[in-house]
Amino acid sequence: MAVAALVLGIISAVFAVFLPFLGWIGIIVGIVGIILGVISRKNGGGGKATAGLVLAIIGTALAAIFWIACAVCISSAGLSGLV
Amino acid sequence: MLPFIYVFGLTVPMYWLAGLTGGGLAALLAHLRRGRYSVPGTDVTHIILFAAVGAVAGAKLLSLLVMLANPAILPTWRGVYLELTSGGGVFYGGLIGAVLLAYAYIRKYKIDLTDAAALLTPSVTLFHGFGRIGCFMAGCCYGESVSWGIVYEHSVGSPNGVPLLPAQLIEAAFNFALTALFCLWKPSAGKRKFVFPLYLLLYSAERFILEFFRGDDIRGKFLVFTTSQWIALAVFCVCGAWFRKSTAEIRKKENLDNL
Repeated sequence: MAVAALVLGIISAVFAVFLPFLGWIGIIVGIVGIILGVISRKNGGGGKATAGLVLAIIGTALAAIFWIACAVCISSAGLSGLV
Repeated sequence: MLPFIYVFGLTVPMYWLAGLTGGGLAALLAHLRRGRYSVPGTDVTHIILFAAVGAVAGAKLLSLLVMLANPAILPTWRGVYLELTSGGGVFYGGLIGAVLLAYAYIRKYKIDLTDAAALLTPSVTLFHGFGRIGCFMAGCCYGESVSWGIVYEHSVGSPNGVPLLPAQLIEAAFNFALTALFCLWKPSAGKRKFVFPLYLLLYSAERFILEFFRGDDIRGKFLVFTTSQWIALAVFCVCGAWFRKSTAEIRKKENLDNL
């Protein structure tokens, strides 16, 4: 599970930095990576689990910002005020 | 006000930037206050991460449900896409999602629920305060038109050139005041169970009232109240009943002890 978290963390970071227009994939992969990283750390995953968790957090945050920035470029009408 | 900033040619939405800043500071606050509570540092981080995942999922899910349930909005794939990609989300959906996932973690790893809730309550209010500043920057969640209000000129979420009540800043100030209150209040172990329900009670009362002064019309409404008002009303009633029951039990116990 630690290796899976690490791989997903790397993938989400790659999507965030190199493929921001596909950032939604990075976000989903990153979220799964976060959950796996947390569970793996609780089960004694060690350094790999921590590295995966950190990468998944960074990847998810960057993917969210860059992807939404891309979406904003397509249409700024997205901020619909439904909050 | 300032919906986007431009970093190295990249458009970065202030809503998300404020949210991420608030999330980071909320996590820092939880770790700084951890000494008084019986929650290990690793678990504090894990609970916050689970809550963050639940918050994003819940906020987006409820905002989609509100959109689909609104007869004034014709649901289209493009609308769903825009809703998912926009900064917006429904706060109560986020709160419910965050509580559910955090609770799942707490139950699974047998962490003291009362301590965890008391520890993380000021972090929730701090994060929410920053979120509302993000709303203010983006121009969403604005108040009704008032003569002394704030005028947006380049907003993508609110009418430009109209003085509007800064409902976002009012809610941000309220949340920061709650953060100060819960940080200064150091409840004994027996009273920690009141912290999170007290937050829910105070916030639901504030939200119910502030909703009357909101000006963004594209919102879920059922009968006389908005979706958020119905949820606030339900939360207020449930928490009020719980408080009444709990305080009555404490008084009864104190009376028995005095006999």
